[in-house]
Amino acid sequence: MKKLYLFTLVLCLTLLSVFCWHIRTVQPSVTRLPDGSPDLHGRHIVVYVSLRDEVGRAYLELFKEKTGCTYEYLYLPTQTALARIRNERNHPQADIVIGGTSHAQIQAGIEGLTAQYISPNAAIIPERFKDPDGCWTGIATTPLAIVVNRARWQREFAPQGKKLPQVYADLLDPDYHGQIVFSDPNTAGTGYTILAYIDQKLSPNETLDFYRRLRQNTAEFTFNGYTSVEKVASGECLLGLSFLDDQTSLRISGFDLISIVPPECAWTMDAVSLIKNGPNPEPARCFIDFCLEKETQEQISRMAYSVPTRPDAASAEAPPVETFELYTAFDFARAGREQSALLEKWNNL
Amino acid sequence: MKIHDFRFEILAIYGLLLCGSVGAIVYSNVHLYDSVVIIEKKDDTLRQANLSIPMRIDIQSENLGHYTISDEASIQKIWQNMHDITADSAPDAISNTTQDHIRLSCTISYLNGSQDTFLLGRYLQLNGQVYSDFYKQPLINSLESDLLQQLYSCSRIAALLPTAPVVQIYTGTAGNPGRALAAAERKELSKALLAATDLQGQKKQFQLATQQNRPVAHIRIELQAVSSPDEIPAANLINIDLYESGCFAVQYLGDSNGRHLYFTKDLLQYLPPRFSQEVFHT
Repeated sequence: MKKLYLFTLVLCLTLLSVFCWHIRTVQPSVTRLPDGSPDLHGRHIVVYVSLRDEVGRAYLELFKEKTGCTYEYLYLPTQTALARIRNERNHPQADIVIGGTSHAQIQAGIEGLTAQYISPNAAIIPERFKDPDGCWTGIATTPLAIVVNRARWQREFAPQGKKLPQVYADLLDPDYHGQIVFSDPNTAGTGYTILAYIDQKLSPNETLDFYRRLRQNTAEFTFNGYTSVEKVASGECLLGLSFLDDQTSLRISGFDLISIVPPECAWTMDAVSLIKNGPNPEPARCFIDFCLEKETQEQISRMAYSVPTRPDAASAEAPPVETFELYTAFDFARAGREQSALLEKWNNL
Repeated sequence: MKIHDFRFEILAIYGLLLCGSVGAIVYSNVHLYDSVVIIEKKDDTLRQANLSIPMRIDIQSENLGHYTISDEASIQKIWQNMHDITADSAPDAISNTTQDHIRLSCTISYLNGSQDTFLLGRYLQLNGQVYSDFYKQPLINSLESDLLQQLYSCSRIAALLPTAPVVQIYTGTAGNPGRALAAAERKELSKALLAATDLQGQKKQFQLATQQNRPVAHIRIELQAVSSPDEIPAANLINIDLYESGCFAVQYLGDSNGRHLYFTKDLLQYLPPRFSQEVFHT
């Protein structure tokens, strides 16, 4: 009799578990449309986007057009995206994180917040632009450049015979006190990139001195990197430090900006990652495949102005990556690991 | 005497009760609708319901002016965003620092006639409290962006054009001097903007954005007079990129998301012929 009771109990609990698991995980397998694209009609993905709003939406709209997959997205600067994924570790709300500075996605991979996925389309992408374990894959790169409002420069500094800043350290010149706009490293990956770069290039004492003097010269810290370029474009600020793709976007809109890419420059790579245990893993993997297609990278580069990671993808507005002398020794994983310590140093100045 | 061991029977009863409870929850979720619920305190419930139904949102920006949102979908979206920001947040008291970052002032009017005022910038300030939690910053930014988007629609820009202190058109490469639009040209431009079709979310918007296609001219609108023409606050500037294809893209430089709103209307044809020649020969 005991055995019968026990058997009934185990059977009920097993059936209940299977039922719950079934509800949670069962999704129809992906079929193909006549053009070979995955048929994702009726499927949905949730994406955290750290790209410029319209670039993120273009990726998602083009994906929807091609596969029928609907989407929701939330724009988050890099640092806040990472904080959110960490916060949601036990109950992930999103499937994908795309864009932002790469140290954050690398760190997310190290912390086990993102899942491994090696897209078949990643084979062509150079090793330095992807994680060998598939926790993240680069989609585009761009260098960190100094941006100057030409009209203001010509009026305020050129008559004194002053030369345009050529390296990041030139921004520490006391003449630029209150003239620089820079994104807040606590919220924006753009701001954090320079902190990590300086930390890896200079000695600890020199790093602290650089941070202190950069803070002194900074007029305003913006929420994200793009806003700082908007402020230089309008003339509200004279100088800024931001990624070249954002600067190109405003230059194409007719704003007279001078962009200076220093030698051995800091740089970043927009990457895409699959969030571990996200609610829609299958369409999310299809989205990663889509981001790494040649056609997608070429289409997006025409509006994002960054350099595609696929060597065979042509970029209309951005010069080839070889044009810039990137600081190739930059250790993104170290930048991710040291984030809390560097921000503490910066915030305590 | 052998004592009967009831442990397994008790475990089995607990197990069955657990299964029954889960089944009941699933069943009640499935059958939540199509059932009659009697509300006992009708007046209280109606008062609560009226209080929480937002009917109108008035937005005021120093640079972009005033706008009233009355369509239900937009109000619900904004209302939901505000709820997401305030839920599980620990608000702070208002300080001078928070006052410095205010960019939008908004009033929500409810069905029962009551009103709430909230201020928005780097923080959300509502009912005497400031919400600035680090994790809520993107939501605050997104709410601000959604509200701003209402303020620089084509109809709003058309309304701003006649009184804007500076409206200039630029052609060719960046740095070319602009030409101020005369009153008659502004009037024509306003009419054209009112007749433009919004491409937001449409396929054509993304085709336009991802085509290798540079704008042929730019119209720049300064919303408030400034002392130095080279030092315009970003929040004081609207830029319109004109494309040869008959589309145009509006960007407000005070919107931190870098958003462009795309429309179809050939604005170039509303400008004097000499200007069109300028565009295509530079």
